[in-house]
Amino acid sequence: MAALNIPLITWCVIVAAMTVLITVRLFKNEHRHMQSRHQGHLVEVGSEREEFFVPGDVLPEHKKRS
Amino acid sequence: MAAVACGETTGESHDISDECREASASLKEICLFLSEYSAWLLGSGATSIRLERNVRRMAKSLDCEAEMTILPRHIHMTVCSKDRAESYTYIIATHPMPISFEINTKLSRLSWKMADEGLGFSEAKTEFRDIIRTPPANKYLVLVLASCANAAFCRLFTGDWAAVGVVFMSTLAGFYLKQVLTEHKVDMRLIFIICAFVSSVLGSTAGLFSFGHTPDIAVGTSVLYLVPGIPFLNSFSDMLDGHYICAFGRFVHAVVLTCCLSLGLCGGMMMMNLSMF
Repeated sequence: MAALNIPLITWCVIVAAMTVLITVRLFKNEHRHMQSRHQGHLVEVGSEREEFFVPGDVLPEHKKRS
Repeated sequence: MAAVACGETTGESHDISDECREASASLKEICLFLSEYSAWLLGSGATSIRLERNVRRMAKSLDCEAEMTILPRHIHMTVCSKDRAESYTYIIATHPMPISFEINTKLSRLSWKMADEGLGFSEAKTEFRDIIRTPPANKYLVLVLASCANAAFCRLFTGDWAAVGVVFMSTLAGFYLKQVLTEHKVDMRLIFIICAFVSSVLGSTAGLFSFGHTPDIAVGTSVLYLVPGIPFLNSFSDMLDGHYICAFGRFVHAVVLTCCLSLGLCGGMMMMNLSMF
């Protein structure tokens, strides 16, 4: 019975390993990308201005320039 | 880049005039430049005949002559003046790098620029520095294009669309793994075994879950992206041109990689209970 399941187990192990590899690499890349741009974390608590932004509001960077 | 030995021979051993010294220095510079150029050109996947022609063309434009011995991992370069009064010899290791047709083409173009447009030595050196800084192609683009190419191979071998999809996914996974392992400087032979194993296991998806009518073609074509086509072609080109040592070296390298590919494929097929014949 176990011998019959070997191909399926092998396939599942390979698919799982590849999925983990791709996910970890994507997460690492995203983390590195965010660190290089100093944009903070993947999930973070935003300010009230960011949460209730209405198109037309003055953006923080525009405010600094003016 | 390893310099193994360098030597200088002059016709007159003692009273070398300032003029001669200048000429000797320039010959040395030319030899070092041509050696480095050769190391990069051979490393980027050029054949021996291209290397010989390019270097001789450049040497001629610089008013000197160049002779070289091309070995699988080293180049022995000798540059001498037209009257053969002076010569300079340098041995350089080939630059270890992935095959790059872009660098290969740019380096060949540089040799034509020197021969046809009279590009000077210092300008050529500057341009050479720019060429070797060429960034590699976008790895994600290469990943997708290689997967499409392999899937197209499956279709050419009369695979149905289910097999094409499976081959695309298995190549995507295997090629991505190859890129990751190459980044981590894993031995190329081990990479070939692992990637062939992973691709063949994933290539047998159609057979395992019984979809599509050509699961055998999917398994067979899922590892084609690993076939070392360029080393094989270069070895035959070198053999036809009479560079037997280099041809043999490249042929053995390609055969070793093909054996590793076969080992991974056989392992995958064995684990998936697939018969080979």
